[in-house]
Parts: sequence; C-alpha cells; structure tokens
Amino acid sequence: MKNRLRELREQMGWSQAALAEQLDVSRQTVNALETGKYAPSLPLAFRIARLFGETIENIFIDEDA
Amino acid sequence: MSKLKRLTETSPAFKRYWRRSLPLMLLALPLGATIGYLSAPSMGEHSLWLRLPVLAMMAALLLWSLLDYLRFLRECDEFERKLEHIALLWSSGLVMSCAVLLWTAQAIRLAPLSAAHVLEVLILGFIASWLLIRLFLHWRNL
Repeated sequence: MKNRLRELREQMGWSQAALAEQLDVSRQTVNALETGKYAPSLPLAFRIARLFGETIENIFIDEDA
Repeated sequence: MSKLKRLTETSPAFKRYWRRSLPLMLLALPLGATIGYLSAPSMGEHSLWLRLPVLAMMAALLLWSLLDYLRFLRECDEFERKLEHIALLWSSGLVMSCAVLLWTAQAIRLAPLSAAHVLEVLILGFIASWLLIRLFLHWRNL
C-alpha cells in the first residue's frame, strides 16, 4: 500500500528510529511501512494519523479506489 | 546507519525478551550437564529419585520459556509479530514435511532410523530453520 509516511516524517525532520520511538514500534516496522511492504492495522494507522495531525486517507493511499 | 549496525538492531520488546531469557539459559546449563551425567551408560536404574526431579525441572524450564516467548509475542509490535508468525509457520511446515518423509523412509524400509535420532533431527531442524528464516526476514526488512 502506497503512503506518504516518508514524506511526512522528513517534513518533521525525524529519523526512522525517532518516528518508531514515538509510535512504540521497531525501526524495521517504520521502514516496512514506508516502503509499502506492510499495511498497518487500524489502531496503528490511527496512531500515525494522530501523530501527524492528518486523516488516515491523507496518509495511506487506497490504490483500488 | 550501516547495514551491519542495522542487522544487529533489535526492537525494545526483543531486548526485554533477551534479558528475561538470560537466567533461563543459565539455569539450562547445569540442567544439561545433569542430563548428560544421568544419560551415561554407567548410571544404573536405581537413580530414579534423581531422574524424576530432573524431568520435572526440564518441564518447568520448557514451560517458562514457552510463556516467556508468548509474552514476547504479546509485547512486540504487529510487524515483528507477523515476521515471527511467518518464521514459525515455515519452520513448522518444513519440520512436518521432513517428519513425514522420514516416516515414509522408515515404512518402506529405505533407511533404518531410530525414533530418538529422528526426534533429535526434527527438534534441531525446527530451531535451526526458525532461526534462519527469522534472520532472513530481519535482513530483508532492514
């Protein structure tokens, strides 16, 4: 699943490790999310959206829509 | 961050799991030595009073490690849990297939195998395949 996670993280000037710490996940998880290898669960997607002050739809792109 | 540093990087949940496992491993060493001592051919059957507590200690150690691993699975994040599940599924599948193959080889009298050796191979095979698959998945997601 495509997403704007890397773009948003870089806008904030955070490293993958810093974002991982704030989301309480491992850095590998952030990397897998950014590269689209892994689609997050709804609770994690909500945590990400809250952290960046965006909606889930603005971060994660539904390619089938 | 260098690739090597990333390879050795672990999650906070795994670090906690590793720290909790250390006393378990330290306990396993004298227990392993005792099992080695008791399995020596010179040991007679009269040592049942020693064998039963060893078996009970082994059961307690295995139960402890299983509960500890389940706790790690609860504490780790969802992606790490997914990788663990994939590694467990692959290694279980491989070991099950090997078990069926070995059973077939035994049934058609292709190879005379002892049950103890087959069990050893399967247990070691499960641990080794789980470790290798887990490492591969870790490396792929650096």
